Amino acid sequence: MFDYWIQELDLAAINAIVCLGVYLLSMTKQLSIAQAAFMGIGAYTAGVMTRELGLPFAVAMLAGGIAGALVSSLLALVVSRLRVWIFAISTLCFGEVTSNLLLNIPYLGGAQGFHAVANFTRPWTPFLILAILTCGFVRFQRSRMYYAFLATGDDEVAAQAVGINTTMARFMAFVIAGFVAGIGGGLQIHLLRGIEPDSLGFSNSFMFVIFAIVGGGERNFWGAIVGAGILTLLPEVLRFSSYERYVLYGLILVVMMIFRPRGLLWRVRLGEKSWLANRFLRASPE
Amino acid sequence: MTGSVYALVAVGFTLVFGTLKVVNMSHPEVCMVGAFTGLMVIVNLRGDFFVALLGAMIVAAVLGVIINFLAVRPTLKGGAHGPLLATMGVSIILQNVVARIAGSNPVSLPSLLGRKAIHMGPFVFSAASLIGLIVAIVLMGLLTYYIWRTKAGMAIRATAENPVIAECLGVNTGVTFVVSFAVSSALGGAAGLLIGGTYGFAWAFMGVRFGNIAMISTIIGGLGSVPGAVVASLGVGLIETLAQAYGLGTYREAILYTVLIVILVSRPAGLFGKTVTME
Repeated sequence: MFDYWIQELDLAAINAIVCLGVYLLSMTKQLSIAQAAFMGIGAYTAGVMTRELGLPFAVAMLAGGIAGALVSSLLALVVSRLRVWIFAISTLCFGEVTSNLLLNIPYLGGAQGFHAVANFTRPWTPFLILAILTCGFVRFQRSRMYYAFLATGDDEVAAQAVGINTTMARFMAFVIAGFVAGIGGGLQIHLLRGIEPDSLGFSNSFMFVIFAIVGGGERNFWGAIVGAGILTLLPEVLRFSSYERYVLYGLILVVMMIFRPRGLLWRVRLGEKSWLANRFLRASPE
Repeated sequence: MTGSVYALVAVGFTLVFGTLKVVNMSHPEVCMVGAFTGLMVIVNLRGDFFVALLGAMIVAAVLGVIINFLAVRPTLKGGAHGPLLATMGVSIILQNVVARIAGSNPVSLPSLLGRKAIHMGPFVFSAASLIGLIVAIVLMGLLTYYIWRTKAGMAIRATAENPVIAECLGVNTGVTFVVSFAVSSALGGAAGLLIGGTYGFAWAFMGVRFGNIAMISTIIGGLGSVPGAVVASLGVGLIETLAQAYGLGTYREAILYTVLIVILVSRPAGLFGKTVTME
């Protein structure tokens, strides 16, 4: 029982790592539904490294990240011209293609998935990586790159006018997100000791976007971490009933979007009323 | 064959996106509820196929209106993500409520009009997919008439073009939103029953299987464009069938989605669409 919860906490940390990538993407206004695919690519790479080639865990994990970054840079080159929905759907299609191709490679286990990987991920490893990444993101928030990303997402034309290479900013955000997802995948396959091609598909990718948005991770990377943590553990906490917990999960999602559409950790701008004020003080004189 | 039924789902997506600029993620689940309603009418009430179809459409339309009021309207102000995630939440709720009631295993839909195959020259159809095609064409015709030849359809088109100006010209946009949700969901309910008929089964998570493809055909056809959605769905159905026919069944998704990426990259606005900008 205790081990089970430790594993759930580790999974939450891994999801938080992947959601940090979603934060970067949503900062630059790229709705990518391929994070699970990059995660899977990283996982398969890392798994092959340790199981087939016998390389050390750290090398495999790094290789997973690099594989994620490489593939995401290729995808970014293809879809960089697209915007909002079309961009989202193209990345979704990419995820489905990857998942389907992996299904057809017998070397990687085909439909059964890639299993019997050693469990190199210790209970603390995901938290260590998450802590390192968090430090990196704290530093990142004081860098010029942060402002370039922010400006690109807010107003692309204005950003270009002040000399920001917005194409580069979007590309960088996409590649870093791919790298982070790959690392997360490497951690996950060595924690769960295997992966199935199904997990690369659309629903898992969408799950990461939900995590990030519910936490408020569109503009605040802490939000991405909190969202991933809460929403990963929520179904486990609600485990007392099998279907009802997902009904509750859905209800919470709807209620969240009504009362707090921008997520839990969303900084209220100066002069902007909170939802409470909006709901109950509407009749009050200006 | 399957394409024509996908078209019914895709048109539902496109109608709601056109008027409200909302991607209704719960649409496939509305279709699924339609399938189960039809199933109930046929099995429990011993109604015939057309009664079931009517029942599926009515229940789905009511459900669509409820979703509109509970999940879409209150979240519209929060930007594009609000309704997207709220309807996603609704779809999770619907899936699991139905799974709770009907069980998560596929329930066999009694053969609507027999399981016999129909030979037509070199082609072989199953009766269920043929009836699906005919019903889809009839419904599509009715929809075209409704959108282009009636006053209510004109209101929908005006709201899709520009809700503020439509309101200024005396269109009740609130009612139009509800109507487009109801029409889209009614079509979805019919589509759900027809899809269940071609699969031979209905199950709580069936929406996942066709929802994705329908949503993508909507976008390929150009978001908000009804003829685009129809053409794209037919194309998608054709690619699927061809991949199956040439023995590439396991690579079906890879082929389909690669073609979709190529189309999206070369024609970012979709086959028939104007460039859609958000916000």
